[in-house]
Amino acid sequence: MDRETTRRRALAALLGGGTAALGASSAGGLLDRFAPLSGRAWESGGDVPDTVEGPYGPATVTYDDHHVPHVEADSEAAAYFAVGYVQAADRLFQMDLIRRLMGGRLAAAVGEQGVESDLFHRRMDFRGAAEASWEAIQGSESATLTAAFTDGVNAFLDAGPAPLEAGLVGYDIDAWDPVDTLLVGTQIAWGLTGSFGTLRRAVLRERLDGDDYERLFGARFDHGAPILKDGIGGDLEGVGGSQATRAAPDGSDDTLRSAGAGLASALAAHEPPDLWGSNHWAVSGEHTESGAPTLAYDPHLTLMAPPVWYEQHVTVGDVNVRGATFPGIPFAIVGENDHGAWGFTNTGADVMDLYDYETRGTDGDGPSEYRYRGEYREFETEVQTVPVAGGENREVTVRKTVHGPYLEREVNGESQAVGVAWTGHSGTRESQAIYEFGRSTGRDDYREALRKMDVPTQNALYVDDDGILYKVSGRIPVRRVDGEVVPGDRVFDGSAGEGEWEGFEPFGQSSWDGFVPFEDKPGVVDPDYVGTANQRVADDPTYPVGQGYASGFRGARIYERLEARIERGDPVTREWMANLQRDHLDIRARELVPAILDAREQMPDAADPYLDALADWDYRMNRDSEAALFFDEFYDRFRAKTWEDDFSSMGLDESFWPQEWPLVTLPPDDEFFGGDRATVLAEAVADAVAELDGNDEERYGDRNRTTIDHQFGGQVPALNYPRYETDGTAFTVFNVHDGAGAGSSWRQVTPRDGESLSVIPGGQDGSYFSEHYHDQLQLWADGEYKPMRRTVPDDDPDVRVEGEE
Amino acid sequence: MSDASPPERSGSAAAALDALRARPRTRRVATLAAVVVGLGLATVHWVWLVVGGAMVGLTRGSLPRALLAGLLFGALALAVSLGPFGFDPSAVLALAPAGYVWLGAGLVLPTFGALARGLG
Repeated sequence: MDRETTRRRALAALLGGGTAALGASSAGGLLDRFAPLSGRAWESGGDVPDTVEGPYGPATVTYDDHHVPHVEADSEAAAYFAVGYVQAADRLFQMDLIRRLMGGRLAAAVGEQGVESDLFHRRMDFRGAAEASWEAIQGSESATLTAAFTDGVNAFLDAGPAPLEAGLVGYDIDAWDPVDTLLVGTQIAWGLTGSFGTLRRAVLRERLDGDDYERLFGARFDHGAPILKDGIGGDLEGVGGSQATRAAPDGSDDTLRSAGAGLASALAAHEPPDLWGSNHWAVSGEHTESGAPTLAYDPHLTLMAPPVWYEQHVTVGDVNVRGATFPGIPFAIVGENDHGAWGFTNTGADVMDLYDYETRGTDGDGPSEYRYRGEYREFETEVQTVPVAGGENREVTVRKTVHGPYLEREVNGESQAVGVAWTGHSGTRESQAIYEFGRSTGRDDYREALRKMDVPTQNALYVDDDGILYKVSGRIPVRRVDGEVVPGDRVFDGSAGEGEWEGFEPFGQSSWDGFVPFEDKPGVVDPDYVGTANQRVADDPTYPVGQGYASGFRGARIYERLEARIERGDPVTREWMANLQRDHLDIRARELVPAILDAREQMPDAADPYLDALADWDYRMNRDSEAALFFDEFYDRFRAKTWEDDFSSMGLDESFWPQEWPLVTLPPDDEFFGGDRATVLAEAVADAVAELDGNDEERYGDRNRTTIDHQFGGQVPALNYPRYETDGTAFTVFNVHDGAGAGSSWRQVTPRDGESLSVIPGGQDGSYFSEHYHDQLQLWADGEYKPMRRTVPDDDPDVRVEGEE
Repeated sequence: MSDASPPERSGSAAAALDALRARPRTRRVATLAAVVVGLGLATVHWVWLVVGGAMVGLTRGSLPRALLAGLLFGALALAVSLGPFGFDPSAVLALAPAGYVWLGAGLVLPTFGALARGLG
């Protein structure tokens, strides 16, 4: 064999062997996803097919300048087939991620990092709840149209390019199912009403003495601005004649056999984020320049890329509705039609109870039986496998009692557990209610639809051409202990059948017999004005509503501006409503800055420039303000200095600290300040000065920048949205918090006699390659809007649905 | 006999390739065909980037020129793949590390395939 032959054979071996080895190695997987031309990640750059066959008749979709789809059809089924198609075209990855999260199938796509979440979501059996809700709406229009929507989503899955994210991670997106849509609804309900706060409060009652607990957690926030406050006018409902006959609980009312602080902290990881809230307010025509009512609305949620909301306009016959929905839900949840406009803020109603049980026996990793009303019963159990991409699959035993899921955790070597009852675990009809909101022709119609909104409990605010309706929606349980109505803010003795909900069937169909009657839930018809910002609904509700309300800073600010305007006799305009939505005065600052300045003598000279800035400040958390920067730096230190030592000594982490209202309003000689608030203020100021003198920040905007990230942004930073300076805090009406990664997720201003405005924090198209990926973000950061027209653009349609009905 | 057969086939293939390279018009047509076929099949699987680079390389008169041709074929594949993105590479490259795999695969695989020119 000559050298040339040897060389050629070696080269042939290198080429053939190298290529084969590349294909067989992990690099082959990367090439499958990212190689030019064939890499599946790049499919998402392909065009959305502009014609699609549908079984419900023709429809057209015309995108406007901000990529809002305007859907026209002769039948609702055809229209919602088209809605499914465009939602999938724009947000398929997001839809899939939500159903994976709630169904406990996240790890199958993202690997180990999704395991803990999957175990929790399997144990809570949210999928079982969604299946019960699908059963609950059978025979309704919403079920029919959800099926059409599902067909539209799957038509896109068959014909359209796969999302970039599926290619980046390397997983496939399965066909959509109607239950997936209900699962998205369950996610909304959980996000707004799921809370293990009851367990935290029980632990706090166990650890704090009675006076401390009452002062920090039990007392009503004295902001004087509940939603149904004096002076708003109108006909009130659901207030007065309190049915609660027992006072708030003390430690002796809780049953904590097997649950404790460790479990509370562990479960907190799966709760919706703190500070989710919302604002909306409405002014009657009597006080507007045009004489027509007006509404402003902005829900506060985690901000993400792509945004949680998807805006759409659907016109079918007499129905002409534009608004925002969660991708995966066919119908606009909030928005406006030809007859009225509506939005929802979170009520903070207590619709989740926790139960402690006597247990015995062993079955796998937990007990086999629990005691219930004098006898032992076997847990309803199911062993499920959680698939893990690139890792070892896990098995989880899902346990349930008569009340609902049974959650266990290993905490410091011992098992802690609690039973859960949550209204969202029953079959619920919010999907039908949302469908009917879009078709409603006025307040009466809307109110009837509201009766079907079993979850979540929301402050529903509606304006039509004649006036305003405010009403608490959602099923609120009535608990009884020894025959007396009690609030749900304690851990009940599940073995004794204490505090049970009459007419509630978890994972089945509830009669809701023992729940607060619709007419007895708080509301007001035809007020002069009304504002909600997650504060206490009323001072004297007929039935207990909730236990954890917002501090009330936003609510108080909305009311003080509304009342000042009306008292001055200045008519309200669309521009004024938008101006109030941009309001970033922080009442915490207004309360604390005078006290800081009073303690000036205890502060270092280096603080002088900052204190001078505070003295001249208007308390607005504006991006250009040095005082706002200083207050922001100061406040977290003041908060930590007040609570950290005391709560740490009780073995309680930050999740147990009180809300901001007590911190801002406690008397200066309170024991949590060591009897001397001035000293605590001075120490916090000194630390803040040292921090700011040591970094480059000069204005609040240097730190208050949008941090709106993609779920995969940690691995692929380009997917994250750009950083823009903005204003506001968690406690201002213009709501931006958590490092500007949470806040107003949708802003809407609707004058009933003029053009509405809206904006989302990002863009309509979830495709990273789209020019609409974040084309509204700068508008949003600057408090500006785009038109929210209910007319279809004159352009040629972008998508045509063809076919016979 | 069994040892002699492959060199004979190889020899005839090499002779055909030599003839192809010797005629400029034929070489241009072959190069064009290799590029079109290579790019077309590379939309199916990345291994065709290697094969495409090999096909293009085999039309060149020397190994260094083959490697250069493979590199250029890869650059063309990258450019074509940017069509859906408005021929703007920045958005793809920003998607690190995926963008780096895209760039690296586009340049290295066809160049690697062009080593086939060294076979004859």
